[in-house]
Amino acid sequence: MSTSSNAMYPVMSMSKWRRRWNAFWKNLILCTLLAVIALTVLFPILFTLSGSFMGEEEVVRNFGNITVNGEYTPMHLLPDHIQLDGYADLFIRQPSYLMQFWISLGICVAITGGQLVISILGGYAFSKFQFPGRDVIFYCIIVLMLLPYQVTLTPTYMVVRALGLLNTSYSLILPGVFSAFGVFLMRQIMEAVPDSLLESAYLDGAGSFVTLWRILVPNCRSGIFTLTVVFFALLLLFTFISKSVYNATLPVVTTVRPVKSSISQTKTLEGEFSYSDSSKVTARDDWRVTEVLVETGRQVDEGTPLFVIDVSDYRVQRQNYADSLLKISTQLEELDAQAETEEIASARKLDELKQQVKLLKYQIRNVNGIYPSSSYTMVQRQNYKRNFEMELVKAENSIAELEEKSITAEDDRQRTRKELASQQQVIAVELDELDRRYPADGIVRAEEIGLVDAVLVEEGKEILRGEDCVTMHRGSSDIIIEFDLSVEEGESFQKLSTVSVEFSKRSWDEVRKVAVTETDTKMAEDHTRQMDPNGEVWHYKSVMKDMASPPVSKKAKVTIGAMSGYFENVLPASCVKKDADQEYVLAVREKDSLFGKAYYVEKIEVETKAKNSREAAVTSKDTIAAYEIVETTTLPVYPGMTVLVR
Amino acid sequence: MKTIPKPKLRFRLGRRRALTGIAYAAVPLAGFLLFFAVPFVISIIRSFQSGLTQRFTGWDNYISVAQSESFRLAAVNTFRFIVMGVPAIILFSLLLALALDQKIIGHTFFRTIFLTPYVIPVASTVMVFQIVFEQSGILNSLCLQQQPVNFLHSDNAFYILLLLYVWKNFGYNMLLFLTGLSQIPSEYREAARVDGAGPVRIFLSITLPLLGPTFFFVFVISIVNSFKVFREAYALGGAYPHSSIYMLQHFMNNNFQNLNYQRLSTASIYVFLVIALVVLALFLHRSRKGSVQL
Repeated sequence: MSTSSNAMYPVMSMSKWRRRWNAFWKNLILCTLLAVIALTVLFPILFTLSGSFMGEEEVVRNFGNITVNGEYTPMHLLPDHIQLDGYADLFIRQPSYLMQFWISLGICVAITGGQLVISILGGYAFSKFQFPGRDVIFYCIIVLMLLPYQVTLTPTYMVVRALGLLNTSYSLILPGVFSAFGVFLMRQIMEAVPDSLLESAYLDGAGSFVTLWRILVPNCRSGIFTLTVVFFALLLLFTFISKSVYNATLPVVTTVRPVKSSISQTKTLEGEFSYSDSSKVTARDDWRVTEVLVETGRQVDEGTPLFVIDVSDYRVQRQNYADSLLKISTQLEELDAQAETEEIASARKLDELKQQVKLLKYQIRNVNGIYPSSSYTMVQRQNYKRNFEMELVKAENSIAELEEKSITAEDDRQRTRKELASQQQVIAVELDELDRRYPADGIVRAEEIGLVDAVLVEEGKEILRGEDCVTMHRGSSDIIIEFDLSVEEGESFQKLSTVSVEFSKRSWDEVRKVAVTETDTKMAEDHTRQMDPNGEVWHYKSVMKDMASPPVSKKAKVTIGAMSGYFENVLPASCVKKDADQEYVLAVREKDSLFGKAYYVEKIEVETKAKNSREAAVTSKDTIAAYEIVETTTLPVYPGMTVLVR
Repeated sequence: MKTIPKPKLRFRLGRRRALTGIAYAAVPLAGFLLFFAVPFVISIIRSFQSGLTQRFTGWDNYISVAQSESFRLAAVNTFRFIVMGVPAIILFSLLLALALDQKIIGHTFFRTIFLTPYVIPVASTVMVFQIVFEQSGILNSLCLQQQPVNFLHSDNAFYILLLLYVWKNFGYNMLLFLTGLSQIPSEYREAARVDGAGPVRIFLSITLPLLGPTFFFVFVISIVNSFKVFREAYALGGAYPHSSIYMLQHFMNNNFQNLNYQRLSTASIYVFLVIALVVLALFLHRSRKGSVQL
C-alpha cells in the first residue's frame, strides 16, 4: 500500500500545479457531498422557517394534509405570499410570550454561568489532582448522569421544598447548576492539557487557583465555548419542556391532543350503581279519577295528596256493611235479654222445687211425728210415706229436667252468639278491605318521600285495579352516590377527583308532551371519602344536588380518575374561562399539591372546525377528560390558558 | 496518550495537592449529593414501599415491574435502540468529522450547519418529520402507486426515531470527534507520511488509537442522548406511541404522570443497575489498557 501510494503521489516529486489540481478535486467532491448532507439536515428547519412566513390558510394546506379528495395537493416549500401573521400573533397579540421568553432566558443564563463554574471546578479537581476515592466518585457522577431525569424529579422537588426554595427561580437554577455532564466534559478537555504547562506555572510560584485561571482556562477556551453553547441550547429546551413543573411562570408550548380511544393514559375506573329506587302508586281497585293533584317532577312528602278518586260507590257499599253490622249487634242484644229472663224463670222454679224436696224429705223423715200412731194406723202412715216418697222422686226428677233444659238452652244461645260474631267478623274484614281499596276521603296520598316521575292517571278516566297511577323515585332529588372502589396494590388512588354521573334526563318543560331523554354529565359536589381500616377498599359518597332536572334513569356511571398521589386538597373549580376568539377553551382547576399551588387541566372543550384532515376527527364539540391530555400533571397551566389542539 | 510527558505523576501527587483537589471538588460534590445522590436514595427507599400506604413491601415492586409487559417491551426497545443507534451515530459522525478535518473550503460553515439540529427545539422539527412520514405525508405522496402507509404507526416508527436521533445528535458527536482529532499532534501524521504510510494506514494506526478517549466519551454521550430521544418519541407518538418506539422513558414518564412513584423508582433502579454495570465494564477496560485514564 505504501509503495503504491508512494508511486502515485510521490510527495517530493509532485509538481505544484498537480498538487493544487488534486486538492481542488478533493475539495470539490467533499464539498458537494457535504452540501448534500447539509441540505438534508437543514430540510426540516428550512421547512419550519418557510412555514412561519405563510398565512394560516397556506400553513393548513401545506402542513395539514397532502391529499384532498384522493388527489395529492402540490406541496410547496416557499410561501406564495410572505406573511408575518405568525410573528405578529406571537409578539403582539400574545405579549406574555415575550415576558415568558425573557424569564426563561434569564434562568438559562444563570444556569449556564453556574454550570460553567461548577464544571470547571469539578473538571479541574478530577483531572489535575489525585485524592483518595477520586475515580469512584467520578464513576458515580457518570452513572448518575445517565439516569433518566424522571427518576430524580420528584425527590429533587422534595429537596427543594426542604430548602424552602419553592416558587423561586432558585428552585430551577440550583439543581440545574450541578451538571454531571459538564464536569465530565470539562475533565475530558482539561485532561488533554499537558501537565508540564501547569507545572511550570506552579514552579514559578503560582497557586492552584492562579494556575487554573491563567493557564488552564485560556488553554481550554474552545472547549469551554463548546460547553457554553451546548449548555445553553440544551437548557433552553430542557427548561421549556421538562422542568417547567417547578415554576408556573415558565412558558409552555403545548400540544394537547385528544388521545385515541384505544389507548388510555389514565386509570379511569368505571362502576355502575343505582342512585335511587323507584316506587309507584298502584290502583287498589277499579278507580275513577276525578281530580289530579300532582304533576311530573314534583317533590312529594309522605301524605301529600296525589289525586282524588270517585268514592260514591264505595260509600254505598260501606253503608250496607254498616247496616248489617248493626243488625247483628241488635240480634245479639236480644239474645242476651232472652237468656236472662229464661234463666231467672228457671232459677225461681228450681228454688221452689228444692224447697219442696226439702219439705218432702222432712216429712218422710218425720212421718211418724206428723201422723202420730195414736190417730193413724200403720197402713195409713205407710201410705202417706209412700206418697211423700213418690212426690220426692217426682220433684227430684223435675229438678234434673229443669237443669238439663237450662243447659241446652244456654248451649243454643251460645251457638247463635258464635254465629253472629263470626258474621260480624266477616263483615268487618270486608269493610276493612273496602277501606283499604278506597281512601276514606277519596284522596290518594304518597306513602313516602319521593319524586314524581310520571303521572299516569287522567281526570275522568277509569283505571283498573293493579294499574300504575304514579311512578316515583324514592328519596329526595339529591342523588346520593355510594360507591366502593377496591384498590389494588401498586395503584395509587388517593383522591376522588371527578364523579361524573351519566343519566338520562327529561326536559321537564315539555312534560306530558314528549319525554326527551338525553345523557348528561354532572359533576358531583360534596363528595366524601372513607377508606376502610385495611386500606384496600374506598368508600365514596357523593351528593349531587340537582333540583332543576332530576335524573330519571336508574343507573349512573361513576368515573374516577387516577389523579391522586400527591394531590391533597381539591379546591372548587375556580377558574373556568372562555375565550370567544379562540377555538379551544381550557377549564383549569387549582390544586394544593406537592408542587405547591398547581393548576391542572380539568377538562378541555374542543370545538373543532371541520377540517379535511383525516387525523382530526370532525366533531362539533367534544369534551376530553383531563387525564387524557398530554402532560397534564407536569405542565403548569394558568387560568384561561389557551391551548392548541392538533 | 502515551506521549504526554511523564512529570505528571510528580506534579499530581502529594498530600497538600490532594487536599487542594478535595477542596476544589467539594462544591460540585455537595451539589451532586444534594440534587442527585439524596434524591436517588429516596428513590431506592420508595422502590421498596407500596405507593399508597408507603408500607414496606420487600421485593414486590421489583417482581411486579419485571413481570410487567410494558416494562419488558420498553426495555427491549431501548436496548435495541442503543445497540442499533449508537454504532450508527458514531460511524456517521466520525466519517463527517474526518471529512471536515481535511480543512476543505467552508468547513466552519458546514460545522455550524451540522450542529444546528442539536440546538433547534425538538417540537418544531418533529412536526416536519410527522409531515413527511404521515399517512398523507410527503413520503407517501412520492410513491404514488403504493397504498399509503402511516409510517409513524408501523414498525418503521422505530427507524424514523433512529433517523431523528442521528439527525439530532450527530452534529454534537462530530464536534467532539473534531476536537479529538485536533488534539492529535500533526507531527505524528507527518512523520508517518514521511515514513511512507498511506492515508488508511495512518487512520488505522495513528488516528484511531489516539481517538480512544474521545471514543469513550462519545460512546457515553451517545447513550445519554439515546435516553433523551424519548422527547422526540414523545413528540412523535405521545405517551403511548407505536409499540416499536415505546421506550423505558415512556414507561417511567407514564408512571410519573400516574404518580406510581414506586414503580418508577423500581424501574429506574433496574436501569441504574444495567447502566452502572456497563459503565463499570468500560471503566475497567480502559484502566486495564492503562494508557489513558478514562
